Amino acid sequence: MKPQKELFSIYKTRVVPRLKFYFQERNSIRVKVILVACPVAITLVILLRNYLHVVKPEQLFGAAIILIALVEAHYWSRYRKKFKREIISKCLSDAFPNFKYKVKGDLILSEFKNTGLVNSSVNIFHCEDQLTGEIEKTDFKISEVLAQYKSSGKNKSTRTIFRGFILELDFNKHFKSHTVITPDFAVSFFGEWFGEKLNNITIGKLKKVKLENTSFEKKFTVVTSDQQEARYLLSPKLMERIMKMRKRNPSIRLSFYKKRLYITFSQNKNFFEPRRWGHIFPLKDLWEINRVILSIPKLVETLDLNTRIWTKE
Amino acid sequence: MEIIIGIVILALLVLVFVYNGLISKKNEVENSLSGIEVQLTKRYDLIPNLVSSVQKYMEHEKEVLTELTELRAKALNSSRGSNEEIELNNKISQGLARVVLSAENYPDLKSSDNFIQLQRSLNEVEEQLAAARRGFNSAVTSYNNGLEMFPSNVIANYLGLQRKELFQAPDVKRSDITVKDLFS
Repeated sequence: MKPQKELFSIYKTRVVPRLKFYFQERNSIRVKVILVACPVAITLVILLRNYLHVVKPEQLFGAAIILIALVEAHYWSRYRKKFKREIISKCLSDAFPNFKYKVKGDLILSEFKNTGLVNSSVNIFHCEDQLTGEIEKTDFKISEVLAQYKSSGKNKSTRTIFRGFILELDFNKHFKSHTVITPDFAVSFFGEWFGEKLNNITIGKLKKVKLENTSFEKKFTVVTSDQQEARYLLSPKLMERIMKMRKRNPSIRLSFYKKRLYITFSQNKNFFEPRRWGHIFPLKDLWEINRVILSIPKLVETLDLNTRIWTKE
Repeated sequence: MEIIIGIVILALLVLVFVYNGLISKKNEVENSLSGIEVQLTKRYDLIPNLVSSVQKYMEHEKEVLTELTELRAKALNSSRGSNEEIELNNKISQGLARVVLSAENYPDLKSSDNFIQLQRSLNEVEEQLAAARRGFNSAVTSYNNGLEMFPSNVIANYLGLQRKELFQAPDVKRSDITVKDLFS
């Protein structure tokens, strides 16, 4: 981890001098919402009532709230992008000169679906705050992702399928197949015998692999397009390493897809963000980002990805 | 009457299901054995290259290299999946491990690009081979379970299916001895 002193110095030079400006900007958004959105919302209510004869108060109130929220979201989106480009980006380039930060990530929905990391349907996908770099021989890409499913029909609702980080790593062995490792919910809920039977039914295109590490088998379901290659990738040592990672991240999912290893880290918090209320960007937030980034080399070390003793260099 | 017909149909369905399950398990064992053979062939193919690239450096290990060549020739002629083939391959593993360890004494060899590449290929084949053997053991375990569990054991007895032996790992595993040292 970057020493607290160094991080504090970056914070002092990059964040503190700009905080006043961003505080005023944030206040001006509220002013704009009051001066622009509220009069427009009132006008909308009058129009709806007089010309479209909408009289139900909940409908009128709802329309006004939606309009105000949209205007606020528009201004806030511009504000946070500006903040990220100016503050987050510069803080990270000072703290990690070898890594590259981008506000908008390039992981797209189809690629995310193809990895097989989630089974549920996803039709809303946001990828932002992407950091790329190399740790010795292993290149990586980490992105903050929000994957949701919005149902249509009468009961419209939006369900979050995944929120957190997706870490993409160059794996140290060549492979052509697709292998996915997910927590074994069926065995946890229904017990070993019935859970196993259920796994065999519900795995879709990829076929279940039965591995010899019993504790690994109890915690994870592994499905693959090539049984032998899955065992080649999941050597006994790697299975133990994944079990070690699971202790810190129980909902961990992994996918070996197109030469890369994808790992998920569920998070409820949105990192790399200015705050809407109170302090805009306290040192604590930078410290948390630092902790996330510095977990990557630890993970590369845990998975032993810099050992390149096979044909892949 | 209808109940009896229903029971008969159900019994037939169970019979078909169990029979197909057993045959599928048996074929899976055959298939995973082929996986091992593919990797063994890859390893046999690497041995001549390894021998030719190390023999000019390893003057004191000529005996090991000759033995390795002979073992390869015998293994190629042995029948697939036989005890003889397994034994020969265990000896090949030991021979390869000795060559790799001896390379430590020859810095020129250790740093040669050709040898490094060969070493990488060997590591890969060894790991693939280990994976294929694990796959074979998993298929055999599932097949043997089918032979012992009710009701599939009844059909297995009728078909005369025999238990299969698990693959036992050789004492010397080259992958344990190798590699990081050579690349350090």
